Amino acid sequence: MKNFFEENITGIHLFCLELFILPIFIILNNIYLRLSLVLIYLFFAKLNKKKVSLMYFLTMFTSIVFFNLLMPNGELLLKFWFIKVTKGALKDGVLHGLLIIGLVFISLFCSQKDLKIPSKIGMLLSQTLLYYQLILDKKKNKIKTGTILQDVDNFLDQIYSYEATKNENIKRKTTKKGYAFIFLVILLNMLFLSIFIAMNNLEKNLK
Amino acid sequence: MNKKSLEDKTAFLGAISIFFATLEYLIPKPMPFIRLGLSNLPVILSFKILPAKYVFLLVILKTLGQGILNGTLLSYVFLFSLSGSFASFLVMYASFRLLSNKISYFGLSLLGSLASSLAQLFLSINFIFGTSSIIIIPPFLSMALISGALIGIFANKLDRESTFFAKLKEEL
Repeated sequence: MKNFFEENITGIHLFCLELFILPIFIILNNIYLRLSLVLIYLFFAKLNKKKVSLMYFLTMFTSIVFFNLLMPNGELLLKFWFIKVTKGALKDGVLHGLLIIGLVFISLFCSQKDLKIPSKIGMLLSQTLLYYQLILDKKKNKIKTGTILQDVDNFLDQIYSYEATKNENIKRKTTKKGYAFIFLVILLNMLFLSIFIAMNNLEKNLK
Repeated sequence: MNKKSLEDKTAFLGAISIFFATLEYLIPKPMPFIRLGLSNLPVILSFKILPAKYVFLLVILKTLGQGILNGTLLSYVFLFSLSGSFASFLVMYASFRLLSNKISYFGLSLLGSLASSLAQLFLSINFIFGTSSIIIIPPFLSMALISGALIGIFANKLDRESTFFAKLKEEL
């Protein structure tokens, strides 16, 4: 079943959106703003029917924070065994962790299989993905443990005999709903950027 | 089996690589960094099937395809995959050129796996976890050796026993 993105936005438009929102996400060096965007992008990634293992990202995030805590920086908050939890290190770790997993979530909702890359490599990539689709379609062929190598050989022979040069992809266009979504995401990012700038100015004035 | 162009062969091997990567992506991992590297198997085998230029093209196709299908294009995962793949290609290519027939797939796989892991360690220490994460080097490299050895053993077995890969080699 197709999801919202597959139905309404082309691969190239999503890729352009990704190029627009990536630098803004990197600039937003504030825990609350970045966390909000991470949660929004996680929701979009789920909307794009991408497999998101929360355990994987939690481990990733915790590891980043942990390694940052090993380099104390700023006010000491608490001491846990040999680890000194300092304010600066904790903030840096959380910001860095959110940045890394946020970038993956952005990529997960902005990447579509029908993304066309120009040039010879793009053409070869389309051909590769066609072969890949053939493998997925034919993989139901039975592979028995006793004759595994022979079965794999037969399977590969079968796929290899196909001509994967026809471009069977149906051309899609971004719909009005799709353009509305792109516009909203851009607006959301501009709003977050404005809040970030305002907060920074306020902090400077208070100092 | 019909004879195909080098481009066709490269695309075919690229598809197998991506398929293996997808299989591996579906297997739950205890840690984000632990993986077998099944997708490197076609790349290792291709050294005796394709000219070097096409092996390099295969590496690009594998990385781009994985990035698009797994949705990690333009994220740190893609950057890691790209740097690891390029480093392992360079080391495997250099060893293959220097040692030619004296190096087995096992040797190629071990060297490639180590090179890929070193490149990824460099990136993770410098850009993700910071210098305090050097403690992950020993377990990370041990994993690289184990996975490299396993893939190498499997590549040697395929090279000896697979009629399909024998035909591909004959076509070169």
